[in-house]
Amino acid sequence: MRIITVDDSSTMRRIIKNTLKRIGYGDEILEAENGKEALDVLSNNEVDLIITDWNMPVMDGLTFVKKVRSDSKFDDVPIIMVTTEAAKEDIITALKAGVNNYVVKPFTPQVLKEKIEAVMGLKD
Amino acid sequence: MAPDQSEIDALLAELNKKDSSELDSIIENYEEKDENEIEDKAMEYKGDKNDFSSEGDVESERLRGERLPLKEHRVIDRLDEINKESEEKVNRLFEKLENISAEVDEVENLIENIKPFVNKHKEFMDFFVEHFPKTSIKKNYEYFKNIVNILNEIEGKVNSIRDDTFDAMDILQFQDITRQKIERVISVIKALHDYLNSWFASDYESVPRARVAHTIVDEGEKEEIDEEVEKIIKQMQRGEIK
Repeated sequence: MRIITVDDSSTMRRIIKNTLKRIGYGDEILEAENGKEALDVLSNNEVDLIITDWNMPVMDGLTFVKKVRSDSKFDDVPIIMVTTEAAKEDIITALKAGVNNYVVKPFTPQVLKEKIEAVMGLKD
Repeated sequence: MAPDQSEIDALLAELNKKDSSELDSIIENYEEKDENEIEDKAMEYKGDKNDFSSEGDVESERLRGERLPLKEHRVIDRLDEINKESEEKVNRLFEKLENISAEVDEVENLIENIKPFVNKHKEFMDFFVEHFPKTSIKKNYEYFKNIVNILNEIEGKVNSIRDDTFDAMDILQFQDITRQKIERVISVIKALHDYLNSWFASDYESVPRARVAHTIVDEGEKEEIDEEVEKIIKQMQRGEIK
């Protein structure tokens, strides 16, 4: 499975990458520092899953999700938002924008695994 | 600081020696130097500070807010710097944890390589001791069983180190969360900065400004000053002041 992780924090990208390996999804992981960079990566690569942060400079996660959803090439790629934003209205906003699942930082590998299984249809 | 009399005399002496074409550049240079000095001093002193402070004193006075800050002390820049430093350090820590994790994997591989051999050997010894209970190999058998137990214990420790390493990696998420908390503080400071700027210095640069007043008369002194002004004007008119 090819996954792209989008986060402006190099530490978080590292943690997510490491966690994905631990939970068995570390085959191929692409990285981007913000939404704009992620769109560039997506224009040259097909991915099976997008894991994105919300608060990022240049292009934030919400704008990125909207852009992805407005492009027919990626409109069915599952998106998980991993963010510190935990307010109910933020979660609703993200889901309305096209996010399939939502993880609040800090997360455990188990939570990320369950969310991935849920969006990939690997779990009932 | 204003030049002292000897500096003024030296300047005048120099001016007297030059022709008019050179005067402008001398005056210009002198004014530039003077302005720079004033600016440096303004940055250095907030209150009545003496000139005998050591570098360490000056630094700590700046940090206590008793002197105007240098560029590297400005709060937003400093907080950005702290965020950057902390991210770098956490990444280094993460690298170390990844190294430990890789070493642990290697140890586990080594154990995995030994285990089939050890298990096979144990099976053989189990069989042998079971069928030949009185054999002298029994003592070696007990010793070997102990080795198997130690190996299992090492395997357990390896797994425990791996779990702890992974837990430590997970905990490093705090850096991103702390960074975002600092970012929030930065945004408040920035908002305050913009807000205060909009009150105090809106369009300051774009509006031509007069020279800043050196003396501003208090209301109570006004009458006295007016009389003094009149007196001076009259003295001038009478030619008493040249």
